[in-house]
Amino acid sequence: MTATTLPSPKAMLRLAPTEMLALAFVALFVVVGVAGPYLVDFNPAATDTAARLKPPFTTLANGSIAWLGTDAVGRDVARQVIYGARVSLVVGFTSAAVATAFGIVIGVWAGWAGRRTEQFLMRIVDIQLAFPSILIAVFLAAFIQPSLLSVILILAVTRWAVVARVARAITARTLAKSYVEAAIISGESTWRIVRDCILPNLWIPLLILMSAELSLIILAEASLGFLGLGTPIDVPSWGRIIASGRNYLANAWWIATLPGLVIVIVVVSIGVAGEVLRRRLGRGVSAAL
Amino acid sequence: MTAVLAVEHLNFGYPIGGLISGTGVAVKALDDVSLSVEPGRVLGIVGESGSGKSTLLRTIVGLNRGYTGTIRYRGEAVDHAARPARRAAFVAGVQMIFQDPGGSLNPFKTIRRTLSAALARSPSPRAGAEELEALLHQVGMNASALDRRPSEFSGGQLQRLAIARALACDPSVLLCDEPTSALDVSIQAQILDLFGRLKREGRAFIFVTHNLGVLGHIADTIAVMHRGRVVEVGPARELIATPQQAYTAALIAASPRLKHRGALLEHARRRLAPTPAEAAS
Repeated sequence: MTATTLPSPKAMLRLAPTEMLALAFVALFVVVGVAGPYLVDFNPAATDTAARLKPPFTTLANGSIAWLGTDAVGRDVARQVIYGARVSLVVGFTSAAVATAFGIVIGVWAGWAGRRTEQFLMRIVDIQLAFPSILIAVFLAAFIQPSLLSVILILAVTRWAVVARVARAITARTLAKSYVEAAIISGESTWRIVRDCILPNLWIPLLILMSAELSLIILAEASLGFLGLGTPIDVPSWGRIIASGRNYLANAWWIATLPGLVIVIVVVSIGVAGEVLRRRLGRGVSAAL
Repeated sequence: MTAVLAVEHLNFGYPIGGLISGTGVAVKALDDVSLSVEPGRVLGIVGESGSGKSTLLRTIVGLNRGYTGTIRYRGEAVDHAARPARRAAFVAGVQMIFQDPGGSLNPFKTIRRTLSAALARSPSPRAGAEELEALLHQVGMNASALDRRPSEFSGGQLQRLAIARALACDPSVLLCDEPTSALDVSIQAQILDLFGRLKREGRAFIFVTHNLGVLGHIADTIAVMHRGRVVEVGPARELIATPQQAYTAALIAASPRLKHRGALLEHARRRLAPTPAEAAS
């Protein structure tokens, strides 16, 4: 048996084939989400009963090929998935950004203020984290008129607390550094100290955290869509496609299975990409997460 | 000579315990501390860990709020709760130098930005290239440092740069919290020589350390602190030679390497001293 050695730093930065594949999938997801609706033509309201429940790779009457089959009203599943990618992409990135921004404000505020303000804000965070986030999302979605904006906000509300906790920890740790104390002593304004001394410490850990949040939000968006609580009915979403295929699992497995597979691939790819990010940028920050 | 900085009957406690922070009892960190320092003099404060010596400095500069007692700068009481503009003279006149050279400069800023910001805060703002170079020259560094970040310097260099930042406001008092503890002995000698020069320029120092050997070299007066109280104050050489208090004697006895360390410092200093030829030029 040969002795095992740690890989050299350079080797650790090298991408494994699976990681390259994951990054390629993430890139594909972004490209399809941004440009997809301009490339394919899809009308969610159009039905074609002659083409209903066709399996994958069927050539339709109009000469096009339904790569992922068609659903119960004859709509092309592949086109729905491409259109749904935009919703997932927009909701995922916007929600993660809103959650991160709000979490930073609360976390830095708590860490800066200390004492009772910190205790108060962090107990709110603890209470929120005690509930499963999907439960909060379903609860809120039941009260709010479904729209793209409401889904974004609901999912942001479910994810900000984790960011706030990390931001508070980093803020508290940074405040103990001499350069922050030097800035306080020299009478710098609070905003300048936060901007110059504290925020630069947050970017990399929160960028890594955001990649994890992103995949959780995409999953949560699909879950809401599946439950019928997500985007409005005329906005195709991955969760909604799966829900529409649920009743046809026995005779048309592709309607639910193939979009589900797409979700799995996207979420796993984002997770792997986040891991690559962590390894590249995150030296010494893992302790904060 | 009148004191440039004085504290009178200073009391401060750290709150601990309690279900909600702030409700617990306080640990007394400063107990009726009265000390003063005159221009061009070095007041050394020595004591074991937890004796309150760092707390004293932090309270003077306003990092610890909720103290009782008076802090006087040039005879006037300082109000740390006042707006920064109202205590501008104190902020510029009293600067602090920290123990950890690695943490005392913002790692995200170049030295140029750090020093320019410090110069801009001085009573007579000026932040030209000449001023920056002059500042670096004062601490024995040159302009090549300006566009680098703190991670590119050694501990001794970082401490020099931290001193340069403190000097940007042309302070009359420098509060030093173990400024040489993290440095090796030859670098310590360099930094202490730098302090000696600043002292001759008429700046006052409060120099906190647990290392009596260092104080013996730089301090004019030594105050010994124990559990938040000043137990003995006296001229440096006399205090080390003939301590009046048992605690002081124990502290001195507990530094068996005092002489040895002093010799090391002296040796390093002799080695670093400019040769007569250099001094002439």
